[in-house]
Amino acid sequence: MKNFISKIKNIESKYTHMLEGVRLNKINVLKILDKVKPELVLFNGHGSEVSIHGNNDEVIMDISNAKSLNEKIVHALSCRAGKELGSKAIEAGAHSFMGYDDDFIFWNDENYAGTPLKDPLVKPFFSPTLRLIASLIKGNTVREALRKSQEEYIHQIEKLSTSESGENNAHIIGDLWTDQQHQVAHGNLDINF
Amino acid sequence: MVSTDIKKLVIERIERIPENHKISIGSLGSFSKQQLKKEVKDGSSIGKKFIERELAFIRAQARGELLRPKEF
Repeated sequence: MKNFISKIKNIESKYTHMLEGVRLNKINVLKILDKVKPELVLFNGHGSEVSIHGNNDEVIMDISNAKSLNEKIVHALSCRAGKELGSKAIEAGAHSFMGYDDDFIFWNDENYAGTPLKDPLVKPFFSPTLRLIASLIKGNTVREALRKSQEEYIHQIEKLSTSESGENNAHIIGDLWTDQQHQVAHGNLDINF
Repeated sequence: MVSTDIKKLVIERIERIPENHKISIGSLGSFSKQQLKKEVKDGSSIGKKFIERELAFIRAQARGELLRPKEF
């Protein structure tokens, strides 16, 4: 992700902080939010309507520490976190919170179990998020980034619908459309990073 | 309570899924085609969720809403 961000804009990696694996715990998350005070926070992990989870399913963000998101633009690729945590984060002072208000669903091909990054089934589900993040990093408003993300969902649905294996992709199109419908946003959408 | 006809429709749609495809449903887990069929037949919460999503998609297709972006 750091390389992805650096490629979009010439942001030196020292200005991006990534927590993953065993380092993705509540203490580290709150430390970064408190000491570094990032303007843009991107979460990617399991979630619930009121929480986002990290390593070993530890709760790393919930309503009790949502004030740590004060004055930040947040995106959470975490199931259902957009339903209640999103609005609570705004009440606690976050500028905006983007995410999903239902389970995030995706399909994968077992033949790519060893090389998930090359799995052609996975890409359509995650490219809308990457497009959104790229748009934010380029300085577009939250509203514009969401528009780009929605545009990417439609592009992927169209591509799958017209592909040779269109009939075999009906299940993928269905869940891609459902994820698109469950994308939500709270707070100030006219702010930019 | 999901009708038998709807379950049958959804199972027929699942039958068309390639054997090597698996679905990941948030923190509920990952399911193969055969596991998904069982969840739907058993009427589990996962099965019901899958049916609900399938029906919403079918209705959206019928209304020509698939390529409509959500407005923010």
